[in-house]
Amino acid sequence: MCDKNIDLMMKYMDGGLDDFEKMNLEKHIEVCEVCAEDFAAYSEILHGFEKMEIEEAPDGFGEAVMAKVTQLDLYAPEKVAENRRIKVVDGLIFGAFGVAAFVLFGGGALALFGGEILGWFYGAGLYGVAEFVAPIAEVCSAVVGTISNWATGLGDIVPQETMIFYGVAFLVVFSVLVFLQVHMSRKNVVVKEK
Amino acid sequence: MKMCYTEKSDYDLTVMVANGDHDAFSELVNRYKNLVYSVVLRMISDKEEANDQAQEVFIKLYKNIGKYSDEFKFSTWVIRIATNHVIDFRRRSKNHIEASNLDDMEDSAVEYVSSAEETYIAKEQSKMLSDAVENLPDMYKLPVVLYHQQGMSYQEISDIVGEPISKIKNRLFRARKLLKESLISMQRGESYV
Repeated sequence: MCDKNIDLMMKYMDGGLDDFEKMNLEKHIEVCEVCAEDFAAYSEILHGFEKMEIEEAPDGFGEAVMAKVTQLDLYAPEKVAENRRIKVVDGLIFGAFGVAAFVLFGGGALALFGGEILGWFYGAGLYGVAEFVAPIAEVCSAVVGTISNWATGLGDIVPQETMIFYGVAFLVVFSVLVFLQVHMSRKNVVVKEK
Repeated sequence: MKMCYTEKSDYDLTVMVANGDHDAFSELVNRYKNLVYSVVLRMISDKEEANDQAQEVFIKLYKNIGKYSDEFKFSTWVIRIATNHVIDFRRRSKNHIEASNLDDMEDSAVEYVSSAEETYIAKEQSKMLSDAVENLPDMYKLPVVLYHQQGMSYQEISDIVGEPISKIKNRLFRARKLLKESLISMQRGESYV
């Protein structure tokens, strides 16, 4: 096994041998039987590929593809409009979820821990932010207080178990509806607009 | 006035397809059907199956046409989809035992399955080379076919396979060595099992 000139042979395969390298390789091949055999094989591979015909697609290939494409017709204006509608609905649902989550968690946090949060802002020297957040925290606190009063009042009329049941049922139905909407929209091909 | 699709760039055609123009897709099929078919055939080696799978590749292209960006050459994108499709097809195929994942194959032993009968019958050089290429594992076959037969650059193959150029060079190096050994053993009338 003689691997001395393997790099030169690979360079030959890439078509990048200069005259000096070619001469060196030829000299070596003259005296090394193993490399001569290897070079003959590499040469055969190189020229074999040059001669190897590119297989042409069978007759009727294009027509068969186009028949399937015509049947699919994914980019017909009405399908594009439908996909766009689905994307908008998806966007609205996720947007609404995002806003609701932000209001619930952000507002709740401000209502419950407004004092600590404002203290942290003041401590960090973020006076502008603190002054911006302070009235929002007040509103959140008032809203949470009102809801708490309603819940206490409602609790006197409706048993706690019933309220929990309807609350959970509402969440389950809402989640299923959202899942169905997302699932249905994913079944459609979304057309990327250029 | 009839539009001249042949003068349009690949990217322009993809935009037209995404806007519902079937003739634009027909032009893309005409441009790339031989490339796709020959690459799929090299990987599947069964003309009928290759025809079906090459058609499926074009359906995939059609479905995903909006995802094409002109960051890559269209041919690079097409071959990437074609090779991934064939790999998926093999994975789905229950009878296909050969490892189909490129990374899995890298770890697996290189295996020649050339039958003795074929070795003796295939005397013509091109037939021998063709057989040798056919028996290469995909991870070596793909770069060698794309580089030597389709005339693609290292960079283009790297984009298609999703591996760095250094890895492509290594695979090509290994593929050539395997082909050389295969050819030499065929010429000596040996069977490489």
